[in-house]
Amino acid sequence: MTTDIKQAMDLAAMGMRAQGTRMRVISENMANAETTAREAGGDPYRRQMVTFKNVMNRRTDVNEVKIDKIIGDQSDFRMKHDPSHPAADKDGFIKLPNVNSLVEMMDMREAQRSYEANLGIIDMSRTMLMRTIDLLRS
Amino acid sequence: MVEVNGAVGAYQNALKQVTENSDKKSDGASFGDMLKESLGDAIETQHKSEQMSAAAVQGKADMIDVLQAVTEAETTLNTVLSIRDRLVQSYQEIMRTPI
Repeated sequence: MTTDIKQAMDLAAMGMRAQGTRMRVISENMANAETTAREAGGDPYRRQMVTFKNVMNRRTDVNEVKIDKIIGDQSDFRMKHDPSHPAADKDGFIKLPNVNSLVEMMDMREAQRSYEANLGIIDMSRTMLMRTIDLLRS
Repeated sequence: MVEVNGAVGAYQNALKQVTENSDKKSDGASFGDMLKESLGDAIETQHKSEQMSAAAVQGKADMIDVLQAVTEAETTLNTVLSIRDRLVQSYQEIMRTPI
């Protein structure tokens, strides 16, 4: 029974790690929301997305969560007319990253909620273990 | 007379059994060995948690790893402590028994 609780805690920790990576990628997107190309007419920063996968741990027989890939968002870049910009093409347009701060905000909320849920699992498992040990003591 | 002899024989048999049993070494690990082993385990997890905390202070370890290590050390130590408390309690109970 206690090994199950321990496994629950380990799994929750892996979920927290995955959400941490997701948070890092969101932060990259937010930080580079205005990063344009370095040469005229080039592509700017492309929004990154995180995908998760579950990996079967053969030793402990549980499904663990891992980061699968960090892939680029293939949607269109934002266009802006700014002929004075160094990255502007011959028509005076610059490409801005396809990062939407509202979408990133929603992603961030989701990551936060998931992290908190996993934290709750760790907290509850720990309480269960401690209560069991207390019973042994009294 | 026969009954008395039988009773004496039974007592002697019982006495023999008791002395034989106390002389015989138990094959499996004794309770002391078990306790020693689990204490070693607890100390090992404590060391691990300390190492993790030190690494985290230096910025080399993940906070989640520290949490895991510390929680494991805490539960292991608490388990061993409560078992030890129970053992000492039973020992005292036996020592208090009037003979």
